[in-house]
Amino acid sequence: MSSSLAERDSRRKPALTRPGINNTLIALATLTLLAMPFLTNSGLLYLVGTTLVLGVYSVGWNLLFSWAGLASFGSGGLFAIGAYVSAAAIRAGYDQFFLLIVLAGAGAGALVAMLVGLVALRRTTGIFFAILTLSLSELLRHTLMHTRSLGSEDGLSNITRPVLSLGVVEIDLTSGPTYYWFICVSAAVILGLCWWLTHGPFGRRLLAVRHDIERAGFIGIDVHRSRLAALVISGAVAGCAGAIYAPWAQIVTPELSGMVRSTQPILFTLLGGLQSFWGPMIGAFVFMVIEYATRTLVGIQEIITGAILLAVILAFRAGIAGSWNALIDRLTERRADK
Amino acid sequence: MSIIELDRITKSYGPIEVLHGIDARVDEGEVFAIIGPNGAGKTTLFKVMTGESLANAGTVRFDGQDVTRMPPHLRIRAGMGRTFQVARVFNPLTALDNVVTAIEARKRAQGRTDHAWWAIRPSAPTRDEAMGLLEGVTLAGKAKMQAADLSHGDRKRLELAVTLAGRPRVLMMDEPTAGMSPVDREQVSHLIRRVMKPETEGGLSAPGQKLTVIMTEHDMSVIFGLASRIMVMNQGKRIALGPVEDIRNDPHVREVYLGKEDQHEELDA
Ligand SMILES: Nc1ncnc2c1ncn2[C@@H]1O[C@H](COP(=O)(O)OP(=O)(O)OP(=O)(O)O)[C@@H](O)[C@H]1O
Ligand SMILES: [Mg+2]
Repeated sequence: MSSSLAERDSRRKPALTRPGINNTLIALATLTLLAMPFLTNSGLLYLVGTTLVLGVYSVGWNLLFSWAGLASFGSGGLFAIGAYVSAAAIRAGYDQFFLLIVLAGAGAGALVAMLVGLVALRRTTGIFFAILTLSLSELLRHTLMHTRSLGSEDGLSNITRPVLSLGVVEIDLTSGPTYYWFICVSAAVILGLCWWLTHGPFGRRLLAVRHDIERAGFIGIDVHRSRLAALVISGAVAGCAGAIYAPWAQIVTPELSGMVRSTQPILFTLLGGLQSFWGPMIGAFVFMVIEYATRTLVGIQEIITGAILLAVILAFRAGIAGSWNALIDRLTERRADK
Repeated sequence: MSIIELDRITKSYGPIEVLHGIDARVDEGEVFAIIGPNGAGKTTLFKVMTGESLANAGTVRFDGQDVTRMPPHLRIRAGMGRTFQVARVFNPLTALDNVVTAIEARKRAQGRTDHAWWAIRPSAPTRDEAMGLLEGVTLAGKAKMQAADLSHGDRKRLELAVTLAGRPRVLMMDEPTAGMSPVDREQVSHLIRRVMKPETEGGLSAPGQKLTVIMTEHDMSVIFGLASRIMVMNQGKRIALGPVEDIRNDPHVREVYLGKEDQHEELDA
């Protein structure tokens, strides 16, 4: 009886499944991104590389938000910390150890996130956590603006792109395309790690905590530790993204710790899809396209961008990723019913 | 032997005292029911036992250990388990992952994590145990469903499976049949009886486990069918405590339930 049910189930299964379709899309997107240096000019390549870095940074933010249920409004501060660590180290002539510098950026982001978490997480959540993180990143911005050794308001410029030395081989990242490919590889590594973390036991634990923190405690989960771990990981991703960003932009300024940078992940996530792993990355690229398409409309660009964003967010409550998945499910189900 | 000892528990919300010095001992292996009219303080007493709120005075002992100020997740790790008056399960997870997460949390707390550090999927023993529990509460067919999409009754059953996954020594259930149809109620009663029985006899308790159940309930037929002893509360006081038969014939209890004609009849039933 049950076996015949199972058989009918498997026969009903459509040839095209949602994971199949989505994995194909991810593969196509990856290939397109890798081929970018052959397809575009250097200006556009710079834009794509930046978007990729910001997308990774936003996926890290969303790990904290959609998995652990904590809304940080100060992630820009952690991005800035990584970027300044990287800029200062390269200008001090350590550029052949760039991989270590990136790790140091991640470590600095993680460390600061941990300190904030240890002080704040037990007492503040929700809007208080948002305000606290916002204030801290603003505080950092003002500190950077008044620190002469870090270039005050002008920040640090003339950051050269490094030549990695890995013992036997040297990898020259000084040209635009090679550094762009370095960004692609780093993004793949970081995203892979985040995917692994969010889809295993740790991810399950976080989702339980996000949905009902009290109930999660009642199955024996140490909820404070879980949330602290999520905060530290998201801090590491932000710091790492910042460290990779510095030689790409070749300049870092206190504005990296400002409101714009901190709210970017929120915007990308809303646009691309809450509670979706790829949502923030999709959001980042859609945003890039909108901005690029409206770049000549000086003066009204912001209004148009804002209007499009508002329309997309209101029309697709689940974001682009969520609506896309719902659509695929509908289509594949209809095929199966025939 | 008593597994839970409550010693002169008082609890106030602001200036209002809602528990006035409750004493009780729950024996290992029994089904201990707490009954009383709305607002009697049953849920509040539950919260004091599990650590959701702390008593203003008095002590809670669990297995001889003073746990009065211990946070909930440590009491859970020590062997308490609890379900809620309105079932609380983890909506973003599937039914299976709800149970898997609870099993993984238990194993983690005991330092017995058995999946490889890099593994994303639960280990085979965890998965089997989770499926076994879902089968036990007749939810195996809905294992892959999102908890958010389950019906009220299914959520109650899933919550029980999640709680049992912690292998509690004391299972506390706040109104396990609240808001259910008579058929579902009978099913839950049956389930609780199975929970008490060891696996080897077709039950759901792990081998060597001696489960104690503490429950509140408004449905007298459920109580009379399950409980070994009953504590009756009214306005934050314990007004009676004893075996089922004594409670049914207790004049004071009848007085409290008088005027609630249907409940009175149920006491006679
Ligand atoms: N958080 C709270 N703040 C203030 N008063 C509360 C709070 N929770 C409960 N009370 C009050 O404490 C008293 C006992 O409530 P409790 O929920 O423990 O009763 P109960 O016996 O579980 O009732 P029911 O059968 O309706 O579930 C009630 O008078 C209630 O109004
Ligand atoms: Mg109650």
